[in-house]
Amino acid sequence: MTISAMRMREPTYFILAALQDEPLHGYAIIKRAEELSQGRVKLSTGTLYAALDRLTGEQLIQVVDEQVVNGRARRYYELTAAGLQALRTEADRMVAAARIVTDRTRLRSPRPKAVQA
Amino acid sequence: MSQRLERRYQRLLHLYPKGYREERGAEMFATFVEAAESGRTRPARREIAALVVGALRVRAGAVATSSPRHAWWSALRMAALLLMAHAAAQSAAYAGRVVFSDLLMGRGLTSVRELGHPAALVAGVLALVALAQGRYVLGVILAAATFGLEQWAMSWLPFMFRLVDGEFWQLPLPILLTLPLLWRRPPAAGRPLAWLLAIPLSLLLLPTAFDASLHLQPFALLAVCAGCLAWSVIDARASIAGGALLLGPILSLLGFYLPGWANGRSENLALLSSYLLFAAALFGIGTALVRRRAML
Repeated sequence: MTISAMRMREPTYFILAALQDEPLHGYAIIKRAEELSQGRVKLSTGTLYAALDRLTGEQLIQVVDEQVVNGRARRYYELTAAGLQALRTEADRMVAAARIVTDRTRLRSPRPKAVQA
Repeated sequence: MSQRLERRYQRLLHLYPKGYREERGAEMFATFVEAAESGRTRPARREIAALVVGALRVRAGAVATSSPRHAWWSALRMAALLLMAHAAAQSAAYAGRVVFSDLLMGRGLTSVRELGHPAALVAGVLALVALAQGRYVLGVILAAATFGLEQWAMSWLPFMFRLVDGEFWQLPLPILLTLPLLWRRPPAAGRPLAWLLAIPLSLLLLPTAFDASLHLQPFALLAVCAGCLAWSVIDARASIAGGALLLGPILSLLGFYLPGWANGRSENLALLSSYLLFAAALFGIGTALVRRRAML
């Protein structure tokens, strides 16, 4: 597999990954992305909505539901088929990049010990 | 969440344009409420920064696209508009002299050709509006008419001198930059008439025949370019458009290297070098930023 040029930033990757299983609303996406990235990706609300605007514009996600819960407006987003494809392509790219290192490490024979004179 | 914090978030949301707030405001506010840590009285700094940058990008209509080519077309359009506004400002500076000094003060016209300047101003303003509205064919025709009128009005000056006087390229450049847009038409922005504001700003900040800002040059021009560079954090196109502003002065200074000019080369070498350096930096940084913004 050839490694295509990196096209996705880490926050975007985890936002899309957060939506793999079910549609989520804004705050749930923040929490899920943080959980999946093991705390590395902590999205601010401003960053999240800029990303959601962009991803909606690129038709990688779409709004599936709007609800008012405890007087608060919630909009639920889901991955589109194109979004799922983009996520998988990025995951494949990262797997291929990781294999360059992991395969070599596995195949490498142990270094011969230095022999003392 | 405390009422104080709520008010602060509401104020931050007002940075976004009204239309965006109506679409997203309630949802964003609900997310603020849920994400707010208990005991916090003011929004986190990174949250404020993200909101300010996000709001400025929405207001500026910054292009967020995964296609660098799309972003380049949009940057080309912005550069053509900026150059056209500058050209209209140049016409306004001359037209102002003709109307206020010659006609209204009763001095009278030295030549009927002077009327070319006010006519060029009208054509230039219409060209700017047409380009801003995405009517590129009409825009090019009107810009060409503006150029013709300006050249007619300036025809008392030998062509060789016009080539190096810093104003000659102000119209051919936006016309040349608009030609590719005839083929791939980037959409017009939300408020095309807002581009008219660029004319008085150009009159004040960019090199024109307007006496009040002439003594600020070339520093004001370089300051505008530096401003474009700073604004490119918000909108990557600004850096490219800023670089385009330097093309006219560069071409004018290169005119001194044409046969027939013995002087003017060494005197202007430092200025030409700084323009070239600034332009290269602006185009280079703009290109890198467009690529970076194209990443999802």
